[in-house]
This record gives sequence, structure tokens and C-alpha cells, in this order.
Amino acid sequence: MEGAPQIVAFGGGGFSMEAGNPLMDAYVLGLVDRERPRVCFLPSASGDADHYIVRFFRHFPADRCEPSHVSLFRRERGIGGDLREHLLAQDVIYVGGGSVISLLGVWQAHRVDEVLHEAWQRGIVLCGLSAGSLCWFSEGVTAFHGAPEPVAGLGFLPYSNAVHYDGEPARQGAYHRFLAEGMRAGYGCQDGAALHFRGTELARVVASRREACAYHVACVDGQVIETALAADYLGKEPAAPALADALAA
Amino acid sequence: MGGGGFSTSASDYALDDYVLGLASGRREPRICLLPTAGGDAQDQIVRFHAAFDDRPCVPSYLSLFRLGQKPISLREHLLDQDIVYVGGGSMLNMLAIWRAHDLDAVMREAWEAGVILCGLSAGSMCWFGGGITSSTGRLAPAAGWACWTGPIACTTTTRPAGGRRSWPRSATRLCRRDGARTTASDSCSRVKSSPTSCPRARRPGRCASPASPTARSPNGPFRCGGCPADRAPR
Repeated sequence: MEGAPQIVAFGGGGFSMEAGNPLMDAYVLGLVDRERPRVCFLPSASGDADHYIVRFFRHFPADRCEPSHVSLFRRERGIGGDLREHLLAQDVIYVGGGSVISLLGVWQAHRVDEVLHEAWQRGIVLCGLSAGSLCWFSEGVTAFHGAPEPVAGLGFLPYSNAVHYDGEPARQGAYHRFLAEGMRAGYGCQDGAALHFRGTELARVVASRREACAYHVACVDGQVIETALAADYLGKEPAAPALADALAA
Repeated sequence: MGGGGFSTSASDYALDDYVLGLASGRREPRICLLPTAGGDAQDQIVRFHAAFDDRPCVPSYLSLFRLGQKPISLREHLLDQDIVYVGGGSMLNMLAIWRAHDLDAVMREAWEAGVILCGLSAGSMCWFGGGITSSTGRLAPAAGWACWTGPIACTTTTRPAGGRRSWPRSATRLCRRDGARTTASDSCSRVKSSPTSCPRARRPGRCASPASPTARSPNGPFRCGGCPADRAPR
């Protein structure tokens, strides 16, 4: 497929964080103009945890898409053939959560970082949550290993990123501090919200939960400024009370 | 270990006993499993504890994929060990992750401080200059951690014939069968190479290999094994 480069970076959400809420994953699949999109799961950040892979296949059944996964810990098993070829044949590459530091280390060892850049340039939709969201940015805040710390990502998106921006207050404080210390401006994204980039421009913020949103966060003249970004809720809005009453009557 | 110990043989703990014996005379040995090469697979961790919990030692493990569940100082914990036991799996991934977490320097520090380093398969090859690994899906030579600058092949009894590749002519050959071990003294001749620029460096000015001239080392520069590229071939 050829198209504009796209990245959908979840603050947190999708099948592994929102049991029973398929909105985020459905949004990503909806970006692909193919009846059964080819979706490849990269669970590297979890150490290719079996339970994670099983959950992916359960939530991306073969009647909706062509699911596959790449295990970089067990390359002798799994997909046959060439890793690069397999990844470049996808419509969506879905990156799971876990340790972003380990993720980037493993990807570099297998040259997956280079392949992902090529995939992105070709218009294959890249998405993911948590570590699978941080990885696309130049910088980010990870709290996976305890106290929040700055981490360098792949740099496809020239911004910083903080995920789980509502669930873990320590992250917000640490992100502000890092920004004041020189981290580049970027985005704080709540669980249930996702940043959809076309090229390197933020095209849309979407939400699988009504209350979820994202922020643009920058340090201006020594002061950190958060600007809330309206998110498009992906579910159905509830009927207006009067109409609901009328329907119930 | 070429292979063996708690994770490959349910009833044969002879090699594990041997390793524990090396730490006898010290306090009750502290032994820490690093299951990085297996992606911190739960079953390896469970088997480790099943094997060591009832022995005269203090077992623990370090999961680099789940540090958030148990935040500790990696360096402090590893330097407090008597034995670091490295599990099998993908050597390529393990070394990449160690480097990403700056653990390579800590491991070297531990080694120099007298902590016994042991392991099987990936956890054995990693200490050498290189080895034969299936980390990329097919058997191929790969660079190790280079604390000993010679290559090694593990589990030669379980690899297909094509698995034994020819080594560089100058290299030490150490091939072991499952259940056999080698100690440092068996590594009699070492490959000499000059400390040149290191393609492993991930950040400007920093060589990621602990065996490099620029790596942190209390005993000064250590000869770089030539730092063969640690990225998978295209």
C-alpha cells in the first residue's frame, strides 16, 4: 500500500488495556482501505510474552483481519521467511506495551528500527500504546522502571511524548520538569486517547472514552504551558435526555 | 555450560551444584538469575526458584522487562551477588537489552569484583568474543560480550550439522556438549586484536562494549575484541 505516513500513538488503550472496548483498535483498522487489513503485532516491549500474543490474536480474529505477530525472541519460530518482507507487507503494525528501553535495544539489534521507518514512509499505519507509543517520538517519559525518566525514541515524530497522562500523576510532574530542563515540546496523552499523526503533523485526537483527552505541552519562557486538545469520541454519543425520555415513554 | 542445569534438565542439577560449590566458603551464596535472553519468560523464573529455593543459597531474579514491578538498583543488586546465572534464549536480544540498560558495564564490574558469572546457551556464549546463535532465525555467528576474546559454540549435540561453522583461523575453538562446562582456564589462547573504533556505540563518545577502551572499568582499558557488528545481517 502507498499513502501518507501515519502513526496512531495511544496514551493507553486498545485490546490490552480496555477489555470490552474495541473503539481504539477499530479506529486503526478503519484507516486501512482493505476488507481484511493485514495487522502485525510486535510484542517486543513485553519480551514477547505469550499471554500478550494470545490476547492479540483473540482481539484481532481472522474474520476481521489477517493477523500475525513477530517474536524477536523466537525468530526461528513464527513467521517464515524474511522479517523485512513480512513487515513491509502489512497494512498496520501494532506495537505492544512494556519496557521502551528494552524494546528499542532489541529493535536495533534486529534492524527493525530501519524497517519500521521504511514501513512508515510507505504508508503502513504504525500504532501502539505505552512503550509502543513512546517509541515513535524523539523523546519521551518512561516510568516503566520505577521513577519517571527521560528516554530517547526512534525520532519519526519530532516531539516529546508522555503516555498514561492521567493515570500516573508522577509522570506529569516529571514531564514538566524535563520540559523545563530542555526536553522538546510535545504531547501528554491520557489513557483512552490517541494522537493521530499524518506525516509529522497531528491530524486528529481521538478517544475511546468520553472523558479522555490529550494536551500539547511546551515550555515557554521557563514556564510549562499545557493546552488541552479536544478529542473526537469514537463511540456513539448518548441520546439527548428529552429524546431518551420520549423513546422510553 | 554448553547446556544443562535447572532450565534444561529437570532432574540433573550437577552443573548447578558445581556452580554453587564455587561460592562455598563465602556467606550463604546469593545467586541471581538474569532471564533476559528468554524475554524474562515466567517459566524460566519459576524453574529457577523451584531449583534453588530449597538449597543453601539466597536466590533472586532480575526481570528487565518488568522492573517497574520491583524497582531496584540493578548495579547494587548485581554487585551484591556471589553468582549471576544467565539463562538461555536469544543472545542477540540479551546483549542489546543489557547495553540499552547499561548493564554490560555492570556485568563487567561484577566479574572483576569476583562475582561468579555462569549460564547456559546464550548465557554461556555471551561471555565470549562470539558464538553460533539462532537469534536471527537461522544459525549464524554473532558477537558476544567479549570478556574472553574467543568464540564458542554451545549445545553441539543438539544442533544440526550445518550449525558448526568455521571459525576465524586465529580463534580459539571451544565446542561443548550439553552438560559439559568450561572454566576460564580452559580458554588457553586468545585472539588478539587492536582496540579500534567500535561500531557498537549507540551514543556519540560512548562505546557500548564493556571490553572497549572507552568503557567504564576500574582496572583501566580492556582490549576491545574488535567489536564485530552486533546488529543482525540484512
